[in-house]
Amino acid sequence: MTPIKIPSIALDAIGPEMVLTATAMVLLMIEVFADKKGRDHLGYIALGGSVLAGALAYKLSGVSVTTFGGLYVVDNFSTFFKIIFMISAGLTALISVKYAQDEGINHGEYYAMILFATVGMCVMASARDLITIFMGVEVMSIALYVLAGMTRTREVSNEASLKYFILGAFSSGFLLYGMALVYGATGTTQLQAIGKAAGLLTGNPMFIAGAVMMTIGFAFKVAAVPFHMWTPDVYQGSPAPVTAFMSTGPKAAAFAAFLRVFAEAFPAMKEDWWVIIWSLAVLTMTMGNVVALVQNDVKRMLAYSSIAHAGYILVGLAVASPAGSSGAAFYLLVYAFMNIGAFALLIVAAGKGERTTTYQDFSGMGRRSPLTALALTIMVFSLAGIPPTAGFAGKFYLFMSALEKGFVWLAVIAVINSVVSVFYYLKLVVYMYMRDEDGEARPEISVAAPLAVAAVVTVCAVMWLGVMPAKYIDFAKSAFLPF
Amino acid sequence: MILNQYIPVILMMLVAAGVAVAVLGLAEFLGPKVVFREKMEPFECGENPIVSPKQRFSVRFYLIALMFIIFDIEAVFLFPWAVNFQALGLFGFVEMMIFVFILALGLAYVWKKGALEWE
Amino acid sequence: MITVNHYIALSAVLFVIGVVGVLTRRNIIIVMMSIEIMLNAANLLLVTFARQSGDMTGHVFVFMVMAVAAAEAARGACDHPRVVQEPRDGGY
Repeated sequence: MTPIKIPSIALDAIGPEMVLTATAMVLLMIEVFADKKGRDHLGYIALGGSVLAGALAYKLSGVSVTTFGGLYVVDNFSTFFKIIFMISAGLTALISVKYAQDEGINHGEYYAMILFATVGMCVMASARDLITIFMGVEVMSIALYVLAGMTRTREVSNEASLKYFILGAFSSGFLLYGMALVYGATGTTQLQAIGKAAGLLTGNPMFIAGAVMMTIGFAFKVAAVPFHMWTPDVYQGSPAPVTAFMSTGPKAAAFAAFLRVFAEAFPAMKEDWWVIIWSLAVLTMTMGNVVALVQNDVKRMLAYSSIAHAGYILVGLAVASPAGSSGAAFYLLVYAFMNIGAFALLIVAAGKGERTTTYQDFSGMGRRSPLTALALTIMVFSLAGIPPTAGFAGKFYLFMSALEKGFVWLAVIAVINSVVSVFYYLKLVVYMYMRDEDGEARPEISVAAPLAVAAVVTVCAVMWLGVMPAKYIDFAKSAFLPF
Repeated sequence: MILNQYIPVILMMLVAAGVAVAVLGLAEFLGPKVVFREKMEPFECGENPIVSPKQRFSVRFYLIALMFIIFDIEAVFLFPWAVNFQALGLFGFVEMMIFVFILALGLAYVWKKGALEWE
Repeated sequence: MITVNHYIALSAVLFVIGVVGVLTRRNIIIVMMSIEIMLNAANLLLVTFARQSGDMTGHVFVFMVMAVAAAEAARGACDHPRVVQEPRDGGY
């Protein structure tokens, strides 16, 4: 029998993924084989795993290698995104420690699922083949479906899990069908080969249908309007740390795959697809901001604001330039810090069982717990894009890329939207500092050590990235994709 | 006419149907019949077969079915590997052992978690 | 004579049945079945194109999708008893 030629495999290029997988499996084994005391350290093991994986990913910066027979690529783009994922996973593990103990979900499975989802995200960022992209999407999504329903005794969590599962699987169906059509039209699943074949296929209905269905699939995953229906309920119902995680890492991963597919496989359609992405961006940010205005619940407000932020990031995609794609990447990095920071403080304020999350519950926070209020104020300023925070630097860089390419209207709409968003973000600050307590009994605010660490880290990162963004923007610039 | 080729198949089907009817008929006429309750129930199932469909049944069936789906589908990957075992050589062997090891970890997890206990 | 186009049409019909099923049905089990139909419509398409072009990639893709669909079905089936019954403590 003739031996099958094994394609070259660069194992060092997938170091981060292997570390994450191994850590997740160790966590599962600890869950079943260790005694109860061993569970206290689960969160820190997950944190250690993500930090190690992040360090390995960082070591790969500058490396550019395509391996596994063209299925997998490690370049600055994937490295930048992997660092975002590790930050997101590590911070989530950190803010989960106290929460998981309070809510009785302090299990190895919980942290293992976070890490498995992160592996899926890494695969999505590094995939250079439709098969690997689909596998990455599914590894990530299935782990997230489990995470959303982790607090089984809360009805909303079960509902969130079911909704997320049904709509996630539905969107996967669209994504897969689109991939099948593209494969049929081009005869290959490799992104670059598709890109080459696509040049000859302009106007081929099967190819266009495939590209459109893949866009729908990705739009679901990044929660772009009108494919966002699942987002508010899922984000509100899921456990708070999981929501923080879902709105940062997986969203970044979906954007990474979205960007890579369209930069490498569909560059021939650039002239047409910016219209679609343009409208998605405008719809998404406007809808997200307008609906966020009328929310009473801070967690739900953050869910809608997450939709709006996806809209800003779509601006970078609509621009379809190196500056646009690196702007989106940088914004996602900033967003990971500020949103997880905001959720860390929400967990502090909400107390056990997440009972107090309305605006009213934040009244008098400035007096009850000045430091928490101050940190939350910084996060909210950053989310609103007020200088000198990182949110401002991210938005500035992103919207500049639109102006450079002549997308004046898009930039104007985005800026108007940012101004609208200031209103509901500052509402929270107003409640914290200018409203007196209404006399209702609220739980004492006590900041557990891991939450405090997470809050300090995110506050520092948000300020640092806001004041000294140049170095990181340069890194993001080196992570552009050729459009 | 192309249909001619199918005549043996049709004959075969007729013969098969005939044999089946004949065997069943013979058993009906010749065999001794002793009917008692336990005999008429599907055995090795543990559940009363004739009840209102709205009744709850043990969630354990669910678990076993889930485990079965997962581990059964993994066998899909073993099959092409087994067929090409020699062509893939040592590399394929090591690779598949890693795969099976990860599955075994999953099995260890499920086992230790108690999902395989019936009681 | 059955051509590639027939398979494409069949797969498109199956996919639409799946989409309509997900959007209109209110029974979780039927919704999950509809999702499976969508995935399998895509599988049919992949195998068709793989046969047409004599390329193995499509077949490999189908293997992957089958594994994913099984995991997804298992995940979805876990939801059902939780949502239908009161969530109970202890034991999965």
